[in-house]
Amino acid sequence: MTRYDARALNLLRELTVSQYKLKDQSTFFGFLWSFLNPLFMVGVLFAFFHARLGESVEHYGIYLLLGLVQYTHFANTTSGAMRVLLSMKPLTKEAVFPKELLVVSSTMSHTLDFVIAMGFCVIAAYVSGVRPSSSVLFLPCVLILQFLLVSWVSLLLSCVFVLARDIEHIYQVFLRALLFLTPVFYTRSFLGDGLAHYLVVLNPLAHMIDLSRSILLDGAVPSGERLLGLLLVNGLLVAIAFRVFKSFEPRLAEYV
Amino acid sequence: MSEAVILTTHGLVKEFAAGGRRPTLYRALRSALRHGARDEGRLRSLDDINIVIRAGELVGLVGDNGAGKTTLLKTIAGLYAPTRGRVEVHGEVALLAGLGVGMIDELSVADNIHLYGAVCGLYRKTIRDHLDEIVAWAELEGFVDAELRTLARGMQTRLAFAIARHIASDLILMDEAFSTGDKRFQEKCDLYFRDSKRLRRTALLATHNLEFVKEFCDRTLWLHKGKQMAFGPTDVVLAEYLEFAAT
Repeated sequence: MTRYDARALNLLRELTVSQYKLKDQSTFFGFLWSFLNPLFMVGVLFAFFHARLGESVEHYGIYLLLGLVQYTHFANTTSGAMRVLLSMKPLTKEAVFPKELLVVSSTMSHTLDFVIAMGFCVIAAYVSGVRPSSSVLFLPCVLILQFLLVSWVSLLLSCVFVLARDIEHIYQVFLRALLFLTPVFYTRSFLGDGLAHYLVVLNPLAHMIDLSRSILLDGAVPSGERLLGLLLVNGLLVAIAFRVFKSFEPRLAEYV
Repeated sequence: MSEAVILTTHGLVKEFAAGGRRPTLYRALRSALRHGARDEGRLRSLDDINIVIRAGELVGLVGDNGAGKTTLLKTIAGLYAPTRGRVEVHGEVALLAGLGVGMIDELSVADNIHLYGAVCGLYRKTIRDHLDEIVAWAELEGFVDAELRTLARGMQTRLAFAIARHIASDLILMDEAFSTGDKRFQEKCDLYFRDSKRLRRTALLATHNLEFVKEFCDRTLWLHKGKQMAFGPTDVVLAEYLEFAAT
């Protein structure tokens, strides 16, 4: 069992801050780009789909924005964390510390943007006329659950990437498909009862997006069962991914 | 020899796959279907290494290039899993495989002090408390906000060593970390190792600098092509090594 003391937490903090600074965020325009990217996509998707797919959705712009912010966070975080053991090769190969810190710090550095972007979504929602509700206090639950989701996916992907570098191309194709397999710009009812419906039910990102939309747009307080269920499933998957990572860790320096 | 044992290796063997082909999904699946059997041959980098290091010893590690010095240090540090045999470390290990591993060119000197200090396993408080002293030791006053890439290589090495000096692990493994730099840097390093001897730090130091080994190391391990040729008092081992090198 790995023991984390104050020094490991200090390293996690330093790695997170360093990666955040390196992600062109130390410049104002680099920081702005993190938000302009999903905003630009919202503009394009809104222009194309508002008339048909969005006609039954109140505040379709915010509906799109939430979906895209969460999808973009998932895609950017997992892609970045997948490569981190190689992009920080000297640390992976020649420094002694628990290597999952590299993966977790990468996910944390991306999640800082996500937290700010979700705050921006809340402001945008109220500006565009969404009625304020106390349910917004449950939004941090979405942040925690999504962090758990990207953490287990990142831990597994980072191991697979070291063993098979071409997985990067396959994953980019998967991410493109995921945009369509996740109700980002359409509603669940659009899918009917076919195979696509079941694929969305099995898609953990879709559950996260549903949760944030119901909290912010519908003003609904999520049920304890729903939150606990998502927490248990993602918590269990983090534990499994962590075990897989630790069993692979002694061979990392050889494969990288 | 009543000091506590810090490190023991028992019949340590380390082999690597000989092939260096880019790992792909196809190759990973093919290897998995063959139950991990690899297509490539195996290269033995360490062959039956048996050593014991006690607290307070500075042990030299000598041998020609390709002798297995770095592999031994990384295996002891836990970065490589032994193919056979065992490594037992009683306490915490720090590895300095190269000075400044993990420092980032695009970050400032101050940021790198915090980052590299954390990589070396220092507490945040230790780094904060010694920040000015580290900058002064590295002679980088006035460069604290400069990006690391603007410093000369020698200045970066000085900075890294200035931070690494504060490592307080039970066993320090160094790989040529102290063999670079100008005369002034060498003198500062010598001072550190004199202190290490006085303070009875425990370290395994890989180097080609035999004068350094003669001056600071109580005992020395000599490796040749992965085999343990000798391990004992420094003067005896160095004499054997030099005799071997002359033939």
